[in-house]
Amino acid sequence: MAGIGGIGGIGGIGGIGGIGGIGGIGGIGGIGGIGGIGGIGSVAYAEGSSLGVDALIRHHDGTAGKLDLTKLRKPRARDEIGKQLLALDAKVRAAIFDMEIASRLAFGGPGPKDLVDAKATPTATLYHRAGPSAATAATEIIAITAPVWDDIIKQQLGLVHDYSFLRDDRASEILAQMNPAIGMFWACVTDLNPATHSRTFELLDSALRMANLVEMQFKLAFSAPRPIEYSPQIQPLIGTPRHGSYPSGHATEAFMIAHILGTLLGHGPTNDVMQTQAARIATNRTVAGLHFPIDSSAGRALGNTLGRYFLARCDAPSGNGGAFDAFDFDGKTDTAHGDFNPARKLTSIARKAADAHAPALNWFWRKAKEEWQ
Amino acid sequence: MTWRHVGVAPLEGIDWDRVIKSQRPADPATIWAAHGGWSEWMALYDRKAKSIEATWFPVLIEICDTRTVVGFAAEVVRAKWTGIIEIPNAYVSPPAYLRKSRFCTAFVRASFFIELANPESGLWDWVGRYQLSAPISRREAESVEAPPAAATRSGAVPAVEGVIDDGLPFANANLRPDSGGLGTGIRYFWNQGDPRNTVRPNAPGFRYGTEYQAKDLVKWIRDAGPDEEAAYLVPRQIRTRRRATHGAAVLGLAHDPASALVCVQLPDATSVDTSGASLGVCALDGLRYIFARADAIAGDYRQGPGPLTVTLSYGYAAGPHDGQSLIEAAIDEMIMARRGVQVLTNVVIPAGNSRLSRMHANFDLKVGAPRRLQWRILPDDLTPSFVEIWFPAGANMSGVKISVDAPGALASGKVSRGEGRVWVAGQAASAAPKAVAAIIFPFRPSGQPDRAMAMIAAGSTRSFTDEALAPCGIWTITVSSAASIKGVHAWVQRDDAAFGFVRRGRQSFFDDPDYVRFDDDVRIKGKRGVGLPVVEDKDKSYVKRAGTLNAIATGDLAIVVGGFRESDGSEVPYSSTGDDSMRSPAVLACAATSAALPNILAGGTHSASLVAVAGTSFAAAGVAREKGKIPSTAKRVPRKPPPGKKPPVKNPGTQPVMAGVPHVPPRPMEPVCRYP
Repeated sequence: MAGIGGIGGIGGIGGIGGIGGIGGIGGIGGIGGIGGIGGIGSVAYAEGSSLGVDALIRHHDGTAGKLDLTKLRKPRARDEIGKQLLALDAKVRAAIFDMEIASRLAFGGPGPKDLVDAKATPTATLYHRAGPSAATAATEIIAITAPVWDDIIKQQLGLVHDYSFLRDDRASEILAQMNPAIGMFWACVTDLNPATHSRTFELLDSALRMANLVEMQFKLAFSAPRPIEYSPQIQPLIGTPRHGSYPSGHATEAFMIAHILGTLLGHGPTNDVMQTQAARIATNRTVAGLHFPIDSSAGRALGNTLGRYFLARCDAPSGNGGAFDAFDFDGKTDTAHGDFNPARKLTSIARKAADAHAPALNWFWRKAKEEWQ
Repeated sequence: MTWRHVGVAPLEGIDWDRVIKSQRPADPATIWAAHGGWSEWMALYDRKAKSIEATWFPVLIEICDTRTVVGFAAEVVRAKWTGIIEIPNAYVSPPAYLRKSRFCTAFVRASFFIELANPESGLWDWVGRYQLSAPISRREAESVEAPPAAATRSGAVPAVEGVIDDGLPFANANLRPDSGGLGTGIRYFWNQGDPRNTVRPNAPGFRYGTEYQAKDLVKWIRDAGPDEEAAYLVPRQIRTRRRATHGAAVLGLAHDPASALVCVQLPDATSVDTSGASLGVCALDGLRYIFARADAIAGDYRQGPGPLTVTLSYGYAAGPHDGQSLIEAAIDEMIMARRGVQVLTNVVIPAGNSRLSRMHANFDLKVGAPRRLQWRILPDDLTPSFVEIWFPAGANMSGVKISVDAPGALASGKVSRGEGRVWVAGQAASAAPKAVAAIIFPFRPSGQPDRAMAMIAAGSTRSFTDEALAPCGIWTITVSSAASIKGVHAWVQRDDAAFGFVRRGRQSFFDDPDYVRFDDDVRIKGKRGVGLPVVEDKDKSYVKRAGTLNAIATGDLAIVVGGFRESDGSEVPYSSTGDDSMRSPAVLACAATSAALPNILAGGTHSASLVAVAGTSFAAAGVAREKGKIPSTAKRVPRKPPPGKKPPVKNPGTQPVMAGVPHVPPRPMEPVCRYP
């Protein structure tokens, strides 16, 4: 088989890559398609293949000749951040973005001893830290306060039970939304597609990783028990995740994505539908028996805040200098009738991320915006 | 674990044997409830269910001939019965055309049953018969509403459409009078299952549920913003957020945008009763409410009642099937009274879907040849099962005996008319003894006091508590007679989950080896078919397809709708039908597209969504929509009046005929961007 296509030793392997590409429908598969035809192949090197390595040793011996230092090529330009970034593997870019974001975040929350009293309502706060060139101290991004669980837990469990009547109706959605990378639900209204929106995908992934870092801090700080811990009659539809209930990660991520994508799309009619989608994704976790409605309410505030903070970081040079609207959430007062109401107006607080500069993110954000123009 | 006489139930202390023997009509449902410790009723008023004194019981009442509810209400005050019976103001102060009404609902105390257990009680001068209904959470306050002093609207009074159903999606854009706006075509909405009084008062003249008016609904729709589901948050309509509900499909099919809508959402029946039979109070109150609200809509124009069509897509299986049950007689009375002032008054009721469910038996009794009915009760049934055996009027009942053999249990022994037996099983010491099964064979049943009826009850076969259970399997009911009797009917009561509700009940049925279900069975002479269900009675079984009509659909004036298939015009196989003793459906309407598509499209709960549904409820909804085209001579097979019984009420208005109503799916709606 290796011999059939001449260069086809490599090409053949490339062909396999091509099949993988087809599995992806669109996307990278387009390149893979070339490999499939028997051309150069989408995978240049066959690391790990002894056949390939041996072939290259022999190939080098037979073709390289004596090193000629007078005939050097000019390496690629790296005089702009964009040129630097595009030279990177996507995984490396992800690490760059993550450092830009996470290095400016700080978290302060209650300790385990603060949770002993069931009547306690501890507050946890996410901060933005200025960069090395600024003199300012950390400033608040969002503060979340726990409800008095003793006061609302029966009401909340009752609602979880009531929502279980929607399980047969929502089961397929609940399964499809287990993985937070619920791209198809956003794609079905925005036409998001890897072939045309690869920068957007990378950006949204960065936002989701940020959200995950933040959520896990809040969830640990509150360590709120899940519905299943209170009652054997809840019987969740899918396995309960191994982290706290409050706030809901699905709600956080869904509302954050809805805001970021909505901004990219220019806040038109699509935005209404995405807000509805976010609410449904959040509610489905209650239907499944994994979350209390108040977890979704808190997650909605957190997601909307993180979406705005993320964009402030992305857009700092051309935007309004790191200013963003935040939505603190107080579980003590936000329980008017207990249920998660996505139509309830959130009260915004103007905040600012000082020295928010994040060069890699800034450049990538512009590229992502171009994908929607 | 033995059968014994019904005797004295512990809580209210009534000697039920005496009641069953009495010449006064007895309600088997009340007797069964008493032997269940009234627990479902008491639980609403006292969590520990120990105090019967605090409990209110909803009942349907027929007042004696020549007297009226209005007169009874005055007598209740005069005779100081106000502590034991409370008649809703909707019946005490009815519209003029219902002043002579003899039917009402009421909340009563246990003392009401105690009083009526005495055949000499003065209450019997007024109460002709009563039936207990499913528990309802009563409120202390009754709303009153003054009529408008002057016309608030001008022009022609719109036709009113009433819908009594569950899961009614008021935020659905299909119900808006004008596409694009944020309104609703619903003028009034009584949610009988909403016990809270925080958002709105209860419906005027009634003491339960909550009424939402158009302005409330519009506010919730507006406040919801782009997420339509958020409109259901304040009134807590979580079930309405399903993709499909029975009520959404009915409303989508029945609604004509030119009409004003009045909706009644029935309470969830699943918690106690899967038969639907005990929703009688809610259904009759719902009908009264719709009449009152239709009058109020006309009152805004300072005019008399306008055209009204009510879709009551609801029903159950067991009852006298002669139009004389309490709820049927009450519905007929209301239709007739309103037709006196507005001829265009119609109530549309589905024929039922139980033609092939083996829930009906019809047989003759001969001397020396007892009839054995094999009644199959399923395991995992959280609710009781019931059979009603109805004897024809004028039958010689003196030698009729009924007995029951349950699997692995002692036989009941023979029970005659005027007797009752219960099977009381031992259980945890903490609770009062509870009946596992019963045969209640009152001298006169309240369902139809001119005929004899025996009710056989079997308790649940599964429970979440340690209460004693009834065995599942074949229960043999033996009916014998010392004289020949023609035309005995038995119906198994409905025991099934409503559309979209958690399954609790499991439908029992008559399991007769002679019953041929499919046409490839050689027991049908001269015919070997292709495996399709047999839809006509061709076998020698006592189990009959004819006579399966919805037990609230055998009255004289409601339009009863069966289903046909659009592709070839044939009746859908499950569509219930009448027999010689009861009238068949007046109308067949579309309930299926073809053999391959055994359903029709109807509205989902969310705007512009469609779902596939099947059943005569949806055929009935289609007829309700076509009300303007309903012509005037019914093709229903006339029912023979029972001997000695007055002929059916004459219809002063028009009675329609329809060859068939074509299926019209709900209007497709343009998507509406409400927050640009």
